[in-house]
Amino acid sequence: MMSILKNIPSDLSLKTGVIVIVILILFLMTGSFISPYRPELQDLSQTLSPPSRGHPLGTDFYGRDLLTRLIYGGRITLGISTLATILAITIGSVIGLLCGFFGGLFDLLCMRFIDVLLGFPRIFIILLVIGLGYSSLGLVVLVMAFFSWMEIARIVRANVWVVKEQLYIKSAQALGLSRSRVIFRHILPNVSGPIIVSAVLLISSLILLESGLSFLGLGAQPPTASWGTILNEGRTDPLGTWWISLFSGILIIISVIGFNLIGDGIQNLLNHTHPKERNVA
Amino acid sequence: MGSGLTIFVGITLTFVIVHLAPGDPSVRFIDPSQTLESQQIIQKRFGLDEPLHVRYLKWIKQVVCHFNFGTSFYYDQSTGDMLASALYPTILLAISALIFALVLGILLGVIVALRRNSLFDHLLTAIMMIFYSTPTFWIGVLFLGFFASALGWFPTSQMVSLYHYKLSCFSQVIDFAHHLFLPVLTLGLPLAAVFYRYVRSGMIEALQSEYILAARARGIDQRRILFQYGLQNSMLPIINLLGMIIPGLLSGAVMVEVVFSLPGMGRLMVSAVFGRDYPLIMAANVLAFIMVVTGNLLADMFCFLTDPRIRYK
Repeated sequence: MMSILKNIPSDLSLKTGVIVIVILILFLMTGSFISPYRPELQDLSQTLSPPSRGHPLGTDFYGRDLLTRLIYGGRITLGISTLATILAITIGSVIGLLCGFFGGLFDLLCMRFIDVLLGFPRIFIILLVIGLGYSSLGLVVLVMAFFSWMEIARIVRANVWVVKEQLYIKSAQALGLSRSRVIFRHILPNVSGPIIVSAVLLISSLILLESGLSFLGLGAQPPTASWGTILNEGRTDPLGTWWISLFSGILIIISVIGFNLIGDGIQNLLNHTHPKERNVA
Repeated sequence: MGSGLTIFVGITLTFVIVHLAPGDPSVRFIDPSQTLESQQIIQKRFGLDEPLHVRYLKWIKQVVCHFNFGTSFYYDQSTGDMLASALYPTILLAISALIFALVLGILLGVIVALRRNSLFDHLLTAIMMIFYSTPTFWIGVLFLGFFASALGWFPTSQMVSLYHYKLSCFSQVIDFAHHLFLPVLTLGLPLAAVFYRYVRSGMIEALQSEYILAARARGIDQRRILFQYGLQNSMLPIINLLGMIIPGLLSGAVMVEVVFSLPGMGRLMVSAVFGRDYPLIMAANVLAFIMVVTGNLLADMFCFLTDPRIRYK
């Protein structure tokens, strides 16, 4: 893990990705101190005004300042994507570790269940759960997490399969360490590379998923803004009120590209530092 | 056998989610001033007054014995018929987009791998990264706003023109292609970006390998080296990927159908969920499951046919 931290400057895509995401997060954290408006403040004398000195990115249909809404919306978008990713990574890693370590019937049942979940077209089932239930951000996070952990579980399981045959694991077991200690202290750190890669890539795919859900009216509910809902507000007239969908769309693209670059960069470093791991994932 | 089990478990899960969800479909058909009795009459008519397991067993029996997916609450039509007519736009859209993406992604990937680190390579890789990172529906909205509304080059909705059936056979095909061009582009471009990445890196790796060097040394034609030796090996990850892509393709088709108002399964599903049309939701889900599982089987078969390492095991 330390070798990756030391190697950050050497990988161009990782460096670019980290810079993009750090700037983005700083912008989201400090932006609300700079902007004089509140995200829900309506100014009905200035509805749908294009970018100007008073409103650098223009206003929306209710005369709300777009820049301010993008700052608060970005917190929601990145917040729920990150939260759902953490949840999915936790579920996926634990199941992957247990399946890989113990094998047997439990492994078989879990893998079958994963096959079933992967067979769901994700948008269908999410549409079903959120559309029929109450549309709340908590439910969105839960549903996004519950239908994203399977890939990670598979990757972790495949890696555990290889790692548990290594000599240091055998010797840890021979020393009489408890199973949970072997799994979480000795195996987990050695499969953490692929987990981190999939976590970073998952965040970017969940940002896209969130915007898709908002498009169907299932994401953040008004007046709460997320990048997806703002992008969707601008879609009725993408050429007339271009600034609404353009700026929110650009932010989504930038953040997704940023996370993808980080994921690719870490993947490259892992392949360079551990050439043997290439055949595992 | 395994895939049959997958379908069964998936459908059962879906049934439970649908029928345990809060809210009552009968509310849609009465106004609040009416009595509780009239609501109960509607519930009885839809079979919603029975407990969950009875409903489930009845539904399974109906499907398995009579191949009948029930009648839509809202449209009062057989859901089987509704889906049959909604199926072909979705399949047509998904398959055309897949073919388009494969052709574009492979072609660009091979060309770029030959000119690695050139300006063309960097430019194209950046463009593909943007397509890969943009919400599909937004690409559709932009295409729709720009090429269909502002420039008027393409129709803005539906699969065919109103006067489609009066056209000659040839113009019917043109009319069809004209309507499907933007949807296929919207669904295909992000997918092409995925294929492009795999083919590019696969080709770059292959071109540095010893078997290509050996082929070159023997003086084999450059084109044959590229497409037969190099591409064949860099295609394997894509073929393995196909099974994973199919659910995503279907999900993308839902978005594209909503953006371009195509009368496909996705739009039917969206309207069914918002209308709490339980029989229609279930029928659409069964169909989606069967499509995914069939797609996966086809992908496995394709893998088997193309990869000798699996074939000779």
